[in-house]
Amino acid sequence: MDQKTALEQLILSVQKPGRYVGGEPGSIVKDKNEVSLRFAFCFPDTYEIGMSHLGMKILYGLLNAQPDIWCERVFAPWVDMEEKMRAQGMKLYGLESFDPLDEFDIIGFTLQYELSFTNILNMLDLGGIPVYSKDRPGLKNLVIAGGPCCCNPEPIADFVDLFQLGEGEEMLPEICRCYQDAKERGLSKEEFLLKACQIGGVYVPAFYDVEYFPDGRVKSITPNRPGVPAVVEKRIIQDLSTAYYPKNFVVPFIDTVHDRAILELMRGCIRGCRFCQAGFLYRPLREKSAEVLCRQGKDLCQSTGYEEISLSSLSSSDYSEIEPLLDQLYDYTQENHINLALPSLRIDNFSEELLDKIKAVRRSGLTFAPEAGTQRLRDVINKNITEEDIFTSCRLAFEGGYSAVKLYFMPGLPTETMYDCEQIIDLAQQVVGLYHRCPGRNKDRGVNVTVSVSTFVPKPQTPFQWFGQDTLDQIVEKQLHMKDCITSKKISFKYHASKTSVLEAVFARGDRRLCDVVYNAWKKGCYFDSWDEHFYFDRWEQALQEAGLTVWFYANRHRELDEIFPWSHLSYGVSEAFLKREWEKAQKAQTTPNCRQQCAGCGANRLLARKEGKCVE
Amino acid sequence: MSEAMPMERETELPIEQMPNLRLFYRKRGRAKYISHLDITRCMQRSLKRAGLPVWYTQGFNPHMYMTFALPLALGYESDYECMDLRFTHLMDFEEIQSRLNAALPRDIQVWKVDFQKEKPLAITQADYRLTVYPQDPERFRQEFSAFCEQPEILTQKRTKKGMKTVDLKPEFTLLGHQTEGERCILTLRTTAGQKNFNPTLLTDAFWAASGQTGYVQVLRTAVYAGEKLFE
Ligand code: SF4
Repeated sequence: MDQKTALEQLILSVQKPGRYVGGEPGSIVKDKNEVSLRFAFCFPDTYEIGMSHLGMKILYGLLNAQPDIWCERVFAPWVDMEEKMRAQGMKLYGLESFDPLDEFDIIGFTLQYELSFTNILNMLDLGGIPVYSKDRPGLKNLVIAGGPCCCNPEPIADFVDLFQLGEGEEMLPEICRCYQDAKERGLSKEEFLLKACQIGGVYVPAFYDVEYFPDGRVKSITPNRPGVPAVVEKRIIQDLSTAYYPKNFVVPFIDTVHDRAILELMRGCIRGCRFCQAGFLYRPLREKSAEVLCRQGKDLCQSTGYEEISLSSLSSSDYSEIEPLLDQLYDYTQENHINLALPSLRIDNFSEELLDKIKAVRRSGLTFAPEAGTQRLRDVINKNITEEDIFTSCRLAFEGGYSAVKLYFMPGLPTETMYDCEQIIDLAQQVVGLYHRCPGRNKDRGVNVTVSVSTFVPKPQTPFQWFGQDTLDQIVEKQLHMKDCITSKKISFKYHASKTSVLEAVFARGDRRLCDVVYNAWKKGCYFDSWDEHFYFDRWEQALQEAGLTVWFYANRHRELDEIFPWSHLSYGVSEAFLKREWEKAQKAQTTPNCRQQCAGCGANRLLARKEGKCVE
Repeated sequence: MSEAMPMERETELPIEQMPNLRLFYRKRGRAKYISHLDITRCMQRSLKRAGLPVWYTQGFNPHMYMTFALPLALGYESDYECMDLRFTHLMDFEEIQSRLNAALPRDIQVWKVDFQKEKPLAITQADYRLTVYPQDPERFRQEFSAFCEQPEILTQKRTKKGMKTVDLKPEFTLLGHQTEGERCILTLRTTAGQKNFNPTLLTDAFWAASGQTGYVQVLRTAVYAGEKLFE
């Protein structure tokens, strides 16, 4: 049997073969002899998750728009496929060419969540590439990574040659050019990295030495080569309206998590919720013009044939041109049999006419994220939503025939007491009561209020980076107590596996000493850690213990205001002084107005070249 | 390939009088990994990309009206796939074919556009070409053809109500068998339509009875309504 037939037999013997075959409309096949750089864009999770990710679509389109670069996609094969691949000695391959990973020049990973770290090791290994940077002496198979977890990539610093801080649309092509130049001139990996670290946003972990105090805290982080920047600052795109945006997406054959056209309204968020890492990482706010969005939406729908288009941003109600945008998009989508998926919007100031139109659009269920059960705690986290807001919207929805509401909460927030947890259930109880008092409710159906809780994980580059997470015992105690407080059958209670939140907290604020823990845990069979059925906390505990490290040190310990963080040399534009101010205000339950009301002086405006450094009009 | 359409765009008929169109296409290569459900979505999106005036059903949840004649199992290839749909106005068949082919994935290509002649219920039989990779091709060929000669071929079939014993003999005719290097090519005519028959059921029955093993590739080559090709 030839190679092709063998591969076919293998693929047909696993679940969802469509994950492993490529060939989708919009995928790009080039002649490998006509390009000077082959880039493998790797998403360290399954095809269905990776293919839903907007960042990958943007960078795939952007790189392939360069005639001399060919970018392919690589996803983590599910365990059934991996097992067969390993049994037959088949390497992980790019979906466009089927060529093995070790034939690519640059292997680029996107780091979306901490629990995908082990998948990076597994994918490299399956692709025939040594996992430790030091075991890859040549320029070929350069391993790079971008995405939000680069704000503290230290737990995987030994595996990745180069991290990209911030947005990639300009930085990634610059890195590729630098690489092509190095390849042509026959430079060594070290010579290339020295040049690359001059590119704004590029962080080469091997060029920094980390010293520790005997108790394990970081003592210093210093560049170990001349010319290496002491602090790496993230890159941003200045103007979203003129930035590259793909006119086409790869349209998958199989069902993926989000399979539709996506419009990116803006980057950044004016709200400043103190627990929200994205809110700080993507500052300052930059909006794309409604006109550009409409054009991009039409282009995308025409080239993909998608039957649904959705709007993406951290808080779409805050998009200043939301009304004209919806107005225009609505007409286009109606004419073309396209469903306009609306995010949950604050609609108080929309015109009657637009409200009527929107009503006609089918909406997904009603969801709110109050995050905390009391106003005091919502002030601590600066979450600008009141009980009255929730009740008003629920009443409107119930009158309109809705009978199901989903409420999201985050137990474990700083200053939280049992009372705050009890009030989560009380809030749900009040929504149930509201339904029964609502004259226009759907009398055929009973109300259902889902309370979904996921434990708070303190994240770097936020005002809560100093705060220690609840211990596992505390997390479980709170969850059980909340469950006990429920008296109504109308309330369903959903909580997320607490041990994954603990591991997430360890990585989020971890240091380089965790690299060997990641490696050893992977060797013990840990990967796909974000999949509950694949999560082995005992193996992680064992790996930590073998390295003489503890969960407590990374996750539960409160950090002093003057502690040097493992990520102190990485800047996301938001000043440490501002984060400290916010942390102190949080502990006094004082709120901070949003950026449109009043600039809080976070410092991110320094990244803007225009508007004399003013973020919003 | 297809006959030219005499009607012009202007001659719009009321939708209930619009004839059903039938698209004949190939599903080859990487397209074999796409399940029937996913093919439906892929076709919808391709029709949209091609900008063709497909008719949507009316009502609360309008969707493209389309039906497929004989759903193909995942992993099979086919040269004879049919899809019926309706347009809001008629167009030149050649143009439909070329616009749609430009929008379809490389491995799914339309080879004929025509009016629907028979209803899908008229389907009675289908032809398949099986490429088998056995351990010993010549031994396989001889034993398999002898296996098919038996008066009765009983095997276990998984149904909704559990395992059931069925006789495969009345469901197929072995039209040909020959070895080609490491492979053996079989041609089969099977019952199809109301009573469907997956050719790998037969090879699986043979593997179970003989103790041999092998990998089987399936290609559907034709679909019949009685004695004639299904059109
Ligand atoms: S500089 Fe001011 S307006 Fe800009 S993001 Fe920071 S707080 Fe908001």
